Amino acid sequence: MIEPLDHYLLRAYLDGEMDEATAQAFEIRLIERPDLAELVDADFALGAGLRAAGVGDAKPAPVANGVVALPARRAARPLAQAGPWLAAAGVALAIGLGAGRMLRPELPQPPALVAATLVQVDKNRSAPGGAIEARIPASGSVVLLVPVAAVDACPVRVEIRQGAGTLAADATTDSFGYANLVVDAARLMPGPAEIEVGCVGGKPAKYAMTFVR
Amino acid sequence: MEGMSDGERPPSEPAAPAVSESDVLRCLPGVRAMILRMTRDIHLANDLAQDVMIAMVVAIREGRVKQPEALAGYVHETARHIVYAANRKMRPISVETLPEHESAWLDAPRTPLDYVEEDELRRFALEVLDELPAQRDRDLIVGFYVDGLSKAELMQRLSLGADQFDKVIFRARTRMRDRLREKMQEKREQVRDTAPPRDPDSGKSRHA
Repeated sequence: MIEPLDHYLLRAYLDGEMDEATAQAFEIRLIERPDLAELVDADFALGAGLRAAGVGDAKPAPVANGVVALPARRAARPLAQAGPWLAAAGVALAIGLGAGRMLRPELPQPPALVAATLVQVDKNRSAPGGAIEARIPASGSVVLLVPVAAVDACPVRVEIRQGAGTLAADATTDSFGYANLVVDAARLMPGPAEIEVGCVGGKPAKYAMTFVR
Repeated sequence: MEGMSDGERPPSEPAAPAVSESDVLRCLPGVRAMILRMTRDIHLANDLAQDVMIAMVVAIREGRVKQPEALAGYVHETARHIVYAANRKMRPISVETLPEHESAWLDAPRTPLDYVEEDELRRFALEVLDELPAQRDRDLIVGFYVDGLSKAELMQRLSLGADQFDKVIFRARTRMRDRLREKMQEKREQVRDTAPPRDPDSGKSRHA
């Protein structure tokens, strides 16, 4: 049976209000209590279902508000289980590439492929005042590379604050210790911004930036 | 022995309860929920949770789990390491596999989320949203789960106190849980109705 204390702890855990040590202690409780795990699943399912349904946005998006976290590499299943599919896929790809080269010397750029502007949060041209400055396009996408200061890789929360608005996304760090995110350039305004990044449940690092066009 | 009369045996200490593979499998729902929270990816969470279970079963068979009362802590530490390793490594992790036909693995507990298709997930989420009595409650849920707004920001925007905020979120989560449970029950009943009767003896001999 779920007691009021369980609800209190679960709420704090799901709302990201626990520090790392407390969150880990609660996770042990989760492992012992499938009834609590069910509510964690339901929390995830609610968010995933609403985002997949495109609620609150023009297009269905995997993460909130126009900010999409680029997935880190996934650990593949053992290759023994992939079996004949890999071989077949390899043959099909080789045939496709070969046929393409014979029939068309220049392949047209697919409409889904668009240029993006790269912004590496900790390595941008600095303005004389010392703030990090980043040039953003008027349209298109911006790829943000945000360094994550952590000894071990961890699930990360990134927030971009400008004025009264906040864009947020969860991400995982790549092998270079960066969280990589895509944001619609139209969602970024010229002017000061604060980028906050940290392991879920941990103390975040903050980067002050100025976006310019 | 001092203090004892002849012929008496010293009281034997109770044997420490052994950790069984089914004890580990009972941890699967919690492990998967924890990994889901860390990765936000249901497919990755399923894969990694399975890797955790395999690693734990191997550890038990090799006698490395020495304190049964600390099983949950051991499982938790294993799960964290596997998730972090999955984030860091560029190549596939080499993990032993178990034969799929082992009965303990087939009997691993399944959670409501295992029974739901993607379109059903969307439908349930929309139903939960529609059932909220006030537009402000719906704005809160969309702001929190879709727009990624913080609790503090939503409380300010919607002029809500912390208790009111928590109540709306709690109601939505429990209603989603109830939807998922109903679906699980429905699927289980379908399987029970269509599955052929199983031989309870499974061909096992009565003689040792």
